[in-house]
Amino acid sequence: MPDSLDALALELRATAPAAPARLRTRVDAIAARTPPAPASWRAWFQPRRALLVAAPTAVAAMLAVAIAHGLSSSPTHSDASQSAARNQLEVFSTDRRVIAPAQSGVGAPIPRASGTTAAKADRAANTPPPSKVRAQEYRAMLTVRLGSVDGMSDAMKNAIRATRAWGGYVVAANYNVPGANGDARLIVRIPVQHVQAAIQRFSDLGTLAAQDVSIRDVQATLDSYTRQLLATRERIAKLRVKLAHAETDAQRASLELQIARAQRAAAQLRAEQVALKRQASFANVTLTLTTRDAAAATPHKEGRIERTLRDAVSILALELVFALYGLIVVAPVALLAALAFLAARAGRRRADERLLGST
Amino acid sequence: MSAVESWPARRPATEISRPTFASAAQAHLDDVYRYLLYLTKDGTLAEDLTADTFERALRAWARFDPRRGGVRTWLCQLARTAALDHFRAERRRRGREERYARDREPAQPEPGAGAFSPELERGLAALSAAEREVIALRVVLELDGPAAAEVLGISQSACSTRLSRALVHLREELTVNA
Repeated sequence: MPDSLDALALELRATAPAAPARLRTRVDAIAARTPPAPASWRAWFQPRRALLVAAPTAVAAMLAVAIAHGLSSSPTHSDASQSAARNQLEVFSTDRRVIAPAQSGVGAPIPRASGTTAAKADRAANTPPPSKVRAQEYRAMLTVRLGSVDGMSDAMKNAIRATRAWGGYVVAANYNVPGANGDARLIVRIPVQHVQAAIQRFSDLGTLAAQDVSIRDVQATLDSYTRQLLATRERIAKLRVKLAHAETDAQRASLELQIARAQRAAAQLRAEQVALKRQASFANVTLTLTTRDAAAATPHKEGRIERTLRDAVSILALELVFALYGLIVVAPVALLAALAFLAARAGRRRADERLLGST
Repeated sequence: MSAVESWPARRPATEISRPTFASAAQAHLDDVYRYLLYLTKDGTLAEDLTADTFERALRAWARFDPRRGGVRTWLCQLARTAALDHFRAERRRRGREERYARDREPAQPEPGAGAFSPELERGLAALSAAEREVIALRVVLELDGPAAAEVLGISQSACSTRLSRALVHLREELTVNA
């Protein structure tokens, strides 16, 4: 009997049986067969290699999309000028960049007010008039500099009085004078036929520092409402004729239902048309009064490369946001799946241990 | 370090490169058979499972990667899987049979060729399959700690602990039977 583990181990190794001859014959017959060839994709697909290729490829694709978008969405200066010259419809502009050539009068740089009558007349001439024949959305933003805060309150009151005198109304007013300097903002809606006079009047309150005017034609939309209304009324008339000749109750009920629906649609169109007409009959004017000195910086005009990079960076940021969002959504699911897999594997191992322990 | 831990690991140089299937089968047939014999205590069953193991190895040979481990370790993993599949099937079969033949005499396992001494046979018979297999892997086949742990699917420390307990249990059984 072995009296040490080493001796026991030696005995175990010494008495370990060899495979019998019949088993060796069986296994030799198995080994003589050709192992099946691996699937062709297994030869080159390996998870680590795939990750090393996929990750930089995905990053390169994201950059390519961002740069392509930047190149395609940033027009040149000449393109922008020609487009503005051809088209009377202008896009809304909330900054102070020049977006159209001076001859259109929209967004044209306004010379600093020198207080002379001639300069003021220039400003009025440069402000585009609203159209008399077409419905438009007219917006104007003025920044007027005052000499001191003392006159700011009176200037606000003057502007409000003038607005009401023209038949307009105040949408919002904000007055902020914490100390020696202050700002005030007034947003009003003025009947569009008086908007040029309003701009002139507001400019005269002080020194005009900035002016931005934009016009959007909505006549096409109104005409579309009119066409749809006519078509709907025509349909209602035809349905009424059919209703008069309906022979069965079911037909009458169906026709009455269609007429009711068409009438509701016509009412909806009419309401939208009226709302748009009312919207177009008033101009939005935002007046900012300030006592602060303007920054001396000249307007910066972006070059093509700058615009391309800016657009590309914004697209890249959007892509990263989507990727992060996807990761946030997928990560908990992946974590749960991994935990479930680990739990299942641990369960299988415990079951195997129990099985071997009972065998 | 215990006597168990000081046993040198033996890793043939042929395991580093990828051999042919035929040479691998010839080189490790005895190892696989011994392991299964320890695990099942049944010579005939061990032969069948050995053949089954090499069938599985032949089908999976293209997926074997020598950089991740030796051929012997890989074959022992396949053998363990084949044995566990058999034990599960046997348990299900016994469950069905118990429902219909409650007085059936259980079959006696047949000892393998070149079997152990009677004392060792009795000692091994008292061990569980889990204890026998760790002795087979670490002592008889002389797999190193990491390889044996990989086959068993446990940590190296758990493998060492199991081996120590199995050997102590075996020695106690041999002492009792002596």
